[in-house]
Amino acid sequence: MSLCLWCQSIYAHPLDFRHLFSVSNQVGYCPQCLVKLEQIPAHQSCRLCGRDLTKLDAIYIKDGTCLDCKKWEEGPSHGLLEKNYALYSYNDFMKEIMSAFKFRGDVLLAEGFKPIVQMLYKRVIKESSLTWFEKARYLFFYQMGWQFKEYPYVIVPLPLSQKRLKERGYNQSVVLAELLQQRIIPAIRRSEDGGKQSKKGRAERLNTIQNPFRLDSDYTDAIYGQCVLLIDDIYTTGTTLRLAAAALKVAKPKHVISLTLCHG
Amino acid sequence: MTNEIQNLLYGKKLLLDEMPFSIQELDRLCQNGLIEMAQGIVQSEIKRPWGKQTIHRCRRCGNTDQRLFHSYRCEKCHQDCTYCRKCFNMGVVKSCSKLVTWVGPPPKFLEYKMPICEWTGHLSPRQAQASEGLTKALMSYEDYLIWAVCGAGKTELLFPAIEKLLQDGRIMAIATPRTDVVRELYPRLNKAFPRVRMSAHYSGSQDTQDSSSLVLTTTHQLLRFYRYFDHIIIDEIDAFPFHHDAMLHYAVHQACRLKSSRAYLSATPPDDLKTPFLKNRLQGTRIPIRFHGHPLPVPKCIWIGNWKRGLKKSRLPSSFLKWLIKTSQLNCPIFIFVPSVTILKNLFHALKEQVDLSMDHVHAEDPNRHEKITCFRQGKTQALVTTTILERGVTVSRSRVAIFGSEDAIFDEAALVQMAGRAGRSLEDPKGEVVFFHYGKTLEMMKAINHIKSMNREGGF
Repeated sequence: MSLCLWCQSIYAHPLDFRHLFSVSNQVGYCPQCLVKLEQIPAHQSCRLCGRDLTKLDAIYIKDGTCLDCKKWEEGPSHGLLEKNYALYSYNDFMKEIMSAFKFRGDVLLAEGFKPIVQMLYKRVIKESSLTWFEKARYLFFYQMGWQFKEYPYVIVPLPLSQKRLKERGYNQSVVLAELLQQRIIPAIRRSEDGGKQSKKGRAERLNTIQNPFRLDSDYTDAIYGQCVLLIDDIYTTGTTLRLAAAALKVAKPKHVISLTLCHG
Repeated sequence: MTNEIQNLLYGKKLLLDEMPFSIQELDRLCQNGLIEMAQGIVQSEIKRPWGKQTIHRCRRCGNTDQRLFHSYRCEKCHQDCTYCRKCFNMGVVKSCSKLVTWVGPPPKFLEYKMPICEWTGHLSPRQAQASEGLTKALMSYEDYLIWAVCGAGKTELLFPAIEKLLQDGRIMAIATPRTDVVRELYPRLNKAFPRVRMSAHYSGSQDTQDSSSLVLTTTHQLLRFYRYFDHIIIDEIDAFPFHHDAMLHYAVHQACRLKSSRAYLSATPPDDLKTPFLKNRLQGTRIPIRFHGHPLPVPKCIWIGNWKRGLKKSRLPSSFLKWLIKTSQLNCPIFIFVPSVTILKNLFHALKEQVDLSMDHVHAEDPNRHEKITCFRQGKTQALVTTTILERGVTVSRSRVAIFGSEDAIFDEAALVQMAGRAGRSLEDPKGEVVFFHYGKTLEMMKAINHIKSMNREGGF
């Protein structure tokens, strides 16, 4: 029996052996709330940005990618961000959850996504360029909850500016990154505040010229020659993540991919 | 500046972050002992057989349910910070946030000496009696219960009482669990008391004057007040969510001054009020007749068999269909109450296929809910399939009521009585008709019928 994180109604977990013998009070969303979230099917998502292609008209799709990504690939920031993984479409219900989680301070809401975010992380590992043996070894360690000295990905959450962090009290990307229970490397800093990204229009976002992100020089070694996994809450146009990837480029990572909770 | 702060903060408990004033100014007042700042969440340790346990308590909503607290590393105070998830919709309360109250001298309230009530209707003898009793009890700081049937005119009888108490310099609140009711009541009160300083508080409200003598509020918003009111009149005391929520009881409790009293208005008072009233420990009156002087319609029970199984195959019980067709020929609006949203949808589709009627369905999360209800009121749609959200506060003249699947556990006595109270509310058609369509009578159904019958008996029918 648990309380739903969103509607605070009492619901029962489906009974299985793990729950039968544990006393842990798991947190999560009730089935009624979960159906309102639209999960993006893995085999029908955009190859590059992880968008749900079933919701897109066929004319906007070209060999498994959406036209937005095509544009990115043709532009100057080609190849900066190799791929994005997204979990949910950013529908009205998700908007409500995100506004409570980001702006109103309900940090625990992220905890409800823990199992599914971890599942997505495993998918990221499976689709990575490691050998099958390395994958299997890492996944086994991950499943058992053991720490592993070689990480296939350096996990870098997107930062907030110091001012915003003081105001809000927490960084939502860090909270999401902590769900993976791996080592987190805060390698990027957000120097100056260019206004909230979520308050800007599409054209404004795409035209951001000055990069608000810069690399923290303490972590150059940690990034060098590694695969980097950026964590953010939402992928909207992809500008923010690409700016962050551009900031990392100085340290010469092997490649950069990203994981976001929503796409929209 | 001090005056402004005094006006805003007197009798309130607000978060420091919500304040429009500078922190230096507030600090100065705090040192002078005019305002008080307290931590949002208090921690205490209690001993358990298995060791010590930390218990958190929210200073604003009084929540002690430990499942509704969560700690995280806060970048503001650089510690593990706990926040309350119960009342976080009103702005999050954390360990490091401060709640501010005014503890200095109270501000000046307007005095009302002249007659201030411009309401010109008149009360029935029963209403007048209740109104007098209410005034008397509140004057001497005693609690009072008004147990009046649906459609007895509860709001009107408050007017004379409010006038007398305001003239005595009392500060009052009318609280109700529902936002709709506040919105509907505010213009009515404004019309009745044009010269009184009043304000309405509901989530998203704009019209919030400070230091007003008459406050209209939802029970949630009472959490913002702290020892402000002499009297709180709580309308629809048994309505969801007030009935189940300890937080709202706490809200009422802490919004009252130390010497204060409360009045309760309800058609179906919960047991913790009913019992003291019946045993004469709580003062009150019962109004068993409606304002038009006709008895309440007594519900009929009709057995419809295993309707759930039929509904799966889109089959409707024949007696229900027969009733519906017969009633629809009378050309009057029909409420069809159902226990849950899934049943609502199934029933609506089945009805759509089999009955030629203009109808609609409504549930709590329907975005077009208000438009649909207005349509129904205007008679554009004849039948409305709905969940229990419309069980109170909605008046449609000449309406008939069907409760489909009334044996469901969600329909308790209070809900059934309230739903039955939707019928026969107007003078043109005082009879109305209420039918329980059931698969086996439940105790709650019988209780509801007996409740209505006993009210009628007391009313002299």
